Amino acid sequence: MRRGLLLASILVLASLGSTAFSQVAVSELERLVIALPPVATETNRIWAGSWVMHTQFEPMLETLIGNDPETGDPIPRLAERWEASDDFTEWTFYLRQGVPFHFGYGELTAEDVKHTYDLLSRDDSQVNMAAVWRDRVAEAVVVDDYTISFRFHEPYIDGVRLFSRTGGEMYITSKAQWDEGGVAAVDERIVGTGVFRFQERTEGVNLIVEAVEDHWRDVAPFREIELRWVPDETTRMAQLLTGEVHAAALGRDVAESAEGQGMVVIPSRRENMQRFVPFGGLYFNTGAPEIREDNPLLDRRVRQALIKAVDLEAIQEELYKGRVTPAFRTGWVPQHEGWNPEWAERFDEMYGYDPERARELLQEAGYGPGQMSVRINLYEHPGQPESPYVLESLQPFWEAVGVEANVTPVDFGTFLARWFEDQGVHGEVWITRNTPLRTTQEFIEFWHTAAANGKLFLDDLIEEKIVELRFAVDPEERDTIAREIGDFLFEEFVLIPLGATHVEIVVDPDVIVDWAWPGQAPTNWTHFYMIEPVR
Amino acid sequence: MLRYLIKRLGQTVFTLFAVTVIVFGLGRMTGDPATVLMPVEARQEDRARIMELWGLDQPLHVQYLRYIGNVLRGEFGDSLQWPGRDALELVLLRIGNTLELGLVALLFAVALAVPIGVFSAVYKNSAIDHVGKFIALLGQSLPHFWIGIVFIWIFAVNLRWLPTSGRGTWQHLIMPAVVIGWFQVAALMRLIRSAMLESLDSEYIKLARLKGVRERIVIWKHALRNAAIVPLTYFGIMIAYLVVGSITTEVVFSWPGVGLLVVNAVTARDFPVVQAVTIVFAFVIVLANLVVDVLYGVFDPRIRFE
Repeated sequence: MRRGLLLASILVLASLGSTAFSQVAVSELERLVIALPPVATETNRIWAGSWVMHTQFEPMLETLIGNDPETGDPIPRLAERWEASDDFTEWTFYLRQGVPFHFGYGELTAEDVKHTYDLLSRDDSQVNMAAVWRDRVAEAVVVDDYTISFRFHEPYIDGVRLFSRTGGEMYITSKAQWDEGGVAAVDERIVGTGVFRFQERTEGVNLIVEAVEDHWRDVAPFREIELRWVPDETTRMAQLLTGEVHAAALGRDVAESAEGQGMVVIPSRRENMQRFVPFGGLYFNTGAPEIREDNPLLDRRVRQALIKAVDLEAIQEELYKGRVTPAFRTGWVPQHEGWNPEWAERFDEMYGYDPERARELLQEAGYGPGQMSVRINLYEHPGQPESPYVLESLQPFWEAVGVEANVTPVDFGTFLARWFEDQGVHGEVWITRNTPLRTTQEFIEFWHTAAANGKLFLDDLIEEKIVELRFAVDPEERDTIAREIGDFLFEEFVLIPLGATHVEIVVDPDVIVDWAWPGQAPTNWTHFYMIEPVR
Repeated sequence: MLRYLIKRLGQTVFTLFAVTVIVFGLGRMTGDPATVLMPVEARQEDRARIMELWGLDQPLHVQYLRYIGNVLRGEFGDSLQWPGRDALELVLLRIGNTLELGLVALLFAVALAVPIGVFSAVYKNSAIDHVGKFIALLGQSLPHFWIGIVFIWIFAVNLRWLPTSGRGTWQHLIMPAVVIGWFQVAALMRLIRSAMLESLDSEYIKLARLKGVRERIVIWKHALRNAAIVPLTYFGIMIAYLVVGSITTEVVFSWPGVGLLVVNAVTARDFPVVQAVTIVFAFVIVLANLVVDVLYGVFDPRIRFE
């Protein structure tokens, strides 16, 4: 794996060189309007929010490592090439020369990259990888104008992802602008190197960007793009049908209706999210939050029974409209280390719909009909319009096998607070998601270690193995450790794997032919320069 | 009059103070904004650091005293959801849009409620009376968001007469104003109807009729002028409803007013914006009620402010 990583890292894609075009845009449409749900934090400050706000940066800012629009694989972007040291404690990037910042703020240099790193490491940084930038990166060293090295305290295998848009948030911004006007200048307008540049923002209403003339890399497909924040889905649908907007983010139910009226659904090229229903309160490790003895979910047989009582295929077909692929072991994907192909083969036997077997398992665990209850926390998970319906659908499945399922509507934020508290969610289920972009190690660290918020299923074996994984650099050794943890969790039935979905956008086919984006970023919509207009 | 005004202003200050306590307390009861705004990956120490930066790590009474001190200086702090933007500035930028919508909704409500109320009284228990009551009943019983969606579907998507949402031209105003205003029609119409019935049954109206004054003049000039005083008291409540109604309506129609702002802010637990919106709304409502009370005395000399 290390050799593969290094080969990929050192890859130079000359064909993606800095071809300059004199064209501004290829569509005659003056402004493309895309209706999206509001982002959590509207700002020009790249350090002031989590991944979910990145949609607003995507048209304007670029990362060191890009992602292929079709496959999501890493490709050179602002960095022409990169390499990791043998022990993975140092990542070095060789920047492309002659890349201009917007609004005449000079050319990209290593100082801009260092400046961006400083922003992400600020005390008030709220980015997802803040802990990595602050605590795992020892320093960022400017080697020369076009070379920068990031030194880590311990091996950091996941550098390619950290410095691309799939996992990190290092959208490179201009140091010259910061030196000139500080945060006030950034609030005024954001300066990047993307195919579009900032034009105007009205908080809570929209963000308008305009095409960069003679961009160093690509031709903007439209002169302007407006990202219009529209909270109500029905309104977004109406705007699309009336031609007020040209693309809109809609849930699968509504999208199906839009399709019936001539609109077209474009899915991301690859899966964007694994969706799942965890079982709460499974803390089996030493020193972790105490388990509550009356939590029936502590019994492995109960967990398997609750999974086998649910017709996953029906949920996938009816609620996700069939646009979902199985996730046999949530958090593990075939492209990442630790994948075990046996999970797919054994999935039906272990997790498949079988209410009769579910009843038997409950009996074996000592729960006759009506003797066990589970609380279902009902809320709409941000970005998952189907989530409340999925949660509601569990109730009849479980009641059919004699489990009392109490559907309890809750506010998402309030639930989050309770979940993150140590004593929060015993005997409860809820819905959440995981990006398959996470490396296996990152998934385990977040969901299965006592130090993190996820606390999905804690066990001494995992705590022990994750330390081994963290310091292992041999690919085979890493693969073995990751698979051992995966096997253990597969056998423990720690969650209901609903499957992996693509992120979608519904477009007016009279305006947009296609939009190639990999979905391999937690920010949902990326690669705005790949929107192909009707000519 | 002056003493009355001073007394009412004192009550206004007390009301606003009570609002600050309630809003502050309720806001904190829902949890902390760091949970919502920060990534789930954030560690406890990261959250703690942000809470400290936002001043939310202090005991509640300290937070409240600091907050009330800032409010008295007109400072509500920076928005958490729109970093770098002053919360009050965000509200003031949008209050005009909400008032614009509210004013048009008010005009619509009055324009519809007055004739329906008058005709319902004049033609009591007739078909006109029943139809009027039915229209008013619909407006009051159908939820704003539902009427809004139905209107969008009929008038924007199918008939293409009006834009679906947003703000810009007078056409953008029609649907949201009708949705908000319609709700008020029922109550206002009923008040006008009952006041008109009382008025039409009074001695001075009988005298006017005996003197041969034309019926149109009797109804629209003599009877309505006196009957209009009663609904005046309702205007204070109406302003409150218009403000509250703007919240759901602005979301459905993407109207860039304070309602839309506060929905986003509540979702993100953006305390500074929520507090600024609430204080501004409370001030508008209290002020409207004060103005109505004063006008009531002006229009009806029998009212004494003592």
